[in-house]
Amino acid sequence: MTLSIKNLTAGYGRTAILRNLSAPDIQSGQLVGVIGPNAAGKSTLFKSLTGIVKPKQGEILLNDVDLISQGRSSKARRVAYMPQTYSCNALLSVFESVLLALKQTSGWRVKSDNLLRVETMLRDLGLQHLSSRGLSELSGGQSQMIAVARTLVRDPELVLLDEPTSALDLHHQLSIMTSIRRAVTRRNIIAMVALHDLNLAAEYCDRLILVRDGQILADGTPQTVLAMSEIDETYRVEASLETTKRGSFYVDARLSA
Amino acid sequence: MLRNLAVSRTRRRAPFSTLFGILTAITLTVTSAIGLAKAETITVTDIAGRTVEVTKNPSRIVLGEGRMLYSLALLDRDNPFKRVVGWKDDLVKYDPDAYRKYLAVFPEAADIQNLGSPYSGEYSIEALVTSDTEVIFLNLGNLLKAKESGVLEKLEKAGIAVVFVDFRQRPTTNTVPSLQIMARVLDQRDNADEFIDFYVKNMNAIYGTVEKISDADKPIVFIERAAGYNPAKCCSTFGSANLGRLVDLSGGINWGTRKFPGFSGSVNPEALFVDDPDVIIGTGANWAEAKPDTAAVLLGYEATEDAVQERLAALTARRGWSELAAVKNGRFHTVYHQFYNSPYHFVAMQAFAKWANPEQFKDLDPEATFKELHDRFLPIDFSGVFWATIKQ
Amino acid sequence: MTSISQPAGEISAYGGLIQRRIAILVGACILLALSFLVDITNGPGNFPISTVMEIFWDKASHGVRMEVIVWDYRLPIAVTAILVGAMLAVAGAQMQTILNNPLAEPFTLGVSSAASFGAALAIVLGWSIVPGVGHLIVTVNAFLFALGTCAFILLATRLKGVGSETIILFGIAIFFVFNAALAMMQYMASEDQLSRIVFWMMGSLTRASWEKIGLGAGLLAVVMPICLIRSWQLTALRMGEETARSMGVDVGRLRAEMLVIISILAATAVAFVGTVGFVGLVGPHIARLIVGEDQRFFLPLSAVTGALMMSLTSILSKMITPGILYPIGIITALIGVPVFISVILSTRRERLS
Repeated sequence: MTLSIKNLTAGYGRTAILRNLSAPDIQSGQLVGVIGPNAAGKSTLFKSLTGIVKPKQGEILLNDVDLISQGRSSKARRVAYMPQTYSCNALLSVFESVLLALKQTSGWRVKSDNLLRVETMLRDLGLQHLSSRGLSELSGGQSQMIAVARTLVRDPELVLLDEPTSALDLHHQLSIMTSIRRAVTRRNIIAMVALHDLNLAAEYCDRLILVRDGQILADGTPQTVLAMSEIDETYRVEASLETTKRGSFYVDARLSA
Repeated sequence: MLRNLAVSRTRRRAPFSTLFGILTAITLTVTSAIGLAKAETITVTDIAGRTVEVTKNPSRIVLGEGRMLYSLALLDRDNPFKRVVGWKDDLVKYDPDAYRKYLAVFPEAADIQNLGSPYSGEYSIEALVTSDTEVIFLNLGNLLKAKESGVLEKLEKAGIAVVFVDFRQRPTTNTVPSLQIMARVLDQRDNADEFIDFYVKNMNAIYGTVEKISDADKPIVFIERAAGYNPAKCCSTFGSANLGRLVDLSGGINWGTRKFPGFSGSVNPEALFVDDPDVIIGTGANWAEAKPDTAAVLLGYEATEDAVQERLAALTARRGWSELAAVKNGRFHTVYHQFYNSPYHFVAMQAFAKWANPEQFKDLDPEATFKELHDRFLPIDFSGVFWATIKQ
Repeated sequence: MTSISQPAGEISAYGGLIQRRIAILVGACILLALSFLVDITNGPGNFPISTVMEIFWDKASHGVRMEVIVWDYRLPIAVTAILVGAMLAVAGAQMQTILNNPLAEPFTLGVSSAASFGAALAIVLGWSIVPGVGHLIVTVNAFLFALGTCAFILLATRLKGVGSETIILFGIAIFFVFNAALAMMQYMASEDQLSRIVFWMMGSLTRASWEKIGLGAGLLAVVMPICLIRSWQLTALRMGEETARSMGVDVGRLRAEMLVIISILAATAVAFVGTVGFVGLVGPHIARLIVGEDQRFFLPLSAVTGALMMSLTSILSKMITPGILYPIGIITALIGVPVFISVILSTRRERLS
């Protein structure tokens, strides 16, 4: 399974956010970190991939099928998107809200197969104890985890997560990233995760894409991308890639003088 | 000086008016000249209990409600319009029969400007000031509104005397004093006294007999307020106020009196069938011009017996109504709605009294009374139909 | 030993939840039926229930007088109360859903003030939009103005593709425009007309008729299935617009469809009985607090709650003073507020589980 993005131009109204953006193909089983400063176009890229924003031109092929022209519901089955912000004041239980992600068709009854998938998903992420809770009772970390569950439960081919670790404490940051990592490997899907934390990106991603001003500035393994001078330039810092005692990388950065 | 200005303003208007307009202008000039000659200020206590300084015998007055003409006509019998410079068009709209009747005798009635509702806050005080209004008569029922909207204060500031009268809130109590107040202001006390004698004599004739009737013998009377006004709806009735009180005083027991105190209440139509009142009286007036689709009985000076009977029959043809005792027993009546806001209400009471206790009041002849009222006190003749009973 | 080790723990919990909700829905329907019974057996005439029931099955069993009382007065009012309550509550529920705003109800969009203005126009000037409707002029005017307002909002949102906040702002603007126009009408009105306008606005169930009932029932019969078919999409919308979109919901189209439905429901209800506020706001809230926001249960329970509220209102409006009918607009608030507050206070969030 391959995702290829070619010459993508998209935006809101007349303002183009993405300008002729092309990315080398992404293979299934890959966890791709999308990094870049605020307003670089990360969210717009994700929304273009899900169809929330309609690209003005370009091509998005998932397994050689054009996503842009694909119908709403079949696209929804293939691509799952977790937006940066989502309302959680709905009076729904965790189980219901995850089940909701599976139900797009009409009909009163719920297939028992769907119930089983929800249950499995919750257990996979170790969330079964929250199953009967109301969404509004959850902590920030818990609701973020449930959102991830809602995204993954549909068994999509492509998962897009927009800053899933924002506003979370360290434990939850690591557990969310671990869950995503595990899901990608187990289900052999493509996941793209927008991240601000370069260290998380370095730790969990197979590949990083650096986006700036609607274009891809750098692309490659975390090791190569994070060591590039483009990082310094993009974030306006002086950074260097260091190795920890257990062999993983971290970015050591300070404001450029 | 001011008055001279007013006169010249009236004259300036003359070329644009008809011959009648010129005649009116001259009449007005003459009256205002007389007014100037003996301009005298008197102090009256109006029906709202306010002490008002007012020019006696003013030549330019405004009626807050057009239907005040019913009272004014009793006082200025020679020409009720001679002082009226403005009014509200309620008479024109809701009692067009009476309006046309007066218009035929006094064509100048057409020139009176419609000033709209005095309580709307938008009321043109300017129009009152520019037409040199000396006195405006307002309805007691709107005292609060007049105060709230600031109209009262503005009028007083403008030097226009405001006199409250009432023929509707407490008709039996306030009619005589209201007429007396108007008469004092308009300097027509002899005319007022003459009518008041007639009024009191007729009221007492009813009271005297009613006293002898025990409550147990009194029939239950249901007033259907504006019967058929809205063909799809039934019913609204009077509580213990106004016509409700008149029914109680004329030997009946008003159904609504026991239910609520006010003027208008929405009746559960089922109650009509359950309580099955002995007498039903629907009120009606010529509302056809204001509301063309109305099914109301169009009572008034232009009504005919046949048309009235036709409408009455239609009202009893409403589903289930033929089952009602009042309809079965031929005690289904209709009465001119405007009696509720008029010093002539004693005529309606005579009709009520006869309907409630036909035996005791067999000598009463309301029609003769109403005719006499017209002959003796009003500048117009009696005509039309003002009440009726369904023909079996 | 723990519930986690049971193979179908979460599923059976969910199944229990669904069963409980069905039970609640059935219970609410039974309450509604009881209220309806009380409504038709109560009135100024204290006839035994058996008599009323006999007339219910056989119109002519107790003579014309009783037939008129039961079939022309009591039944139309009782049924209209239920229909109008359901219409208002469904409209309110959908409004709150598509605008993602718990304070929304059909009248938030200025529907009531538009309808009142239409009615006032008919009462004061006798001016009708559709000529030749006779005494239905007030009803027809109210309906068309309400509908026109909704159509305008719909058009505006379709043209600009605006979000829920903009729709609410539109509604507020329309509310003020028509309120001003209504005040203008009131200035022009005679005292008699003024009192008719006020009475119209306070609402009355006596404007009921079997034709209107047929119309209302038919409308609900069409609208409810349409809404229920979209129940999953509507529930998804409550998870946020972007989440719903990513789940494949065509949010713009769903909003437009629901706006059309809300418009027709609200306009019809207002034309039938005048402006009755609060039911459209509180009915859905009570339903939400009891069964949550799964639209499969939320929507029907909203309808039943609204219907129950109006039915109780109808009972109360004729019981305060036997023989006199009190305006329902006043009573809905009087019984709605205490019920609402008690539900808010007694419902803990855990009730959801």
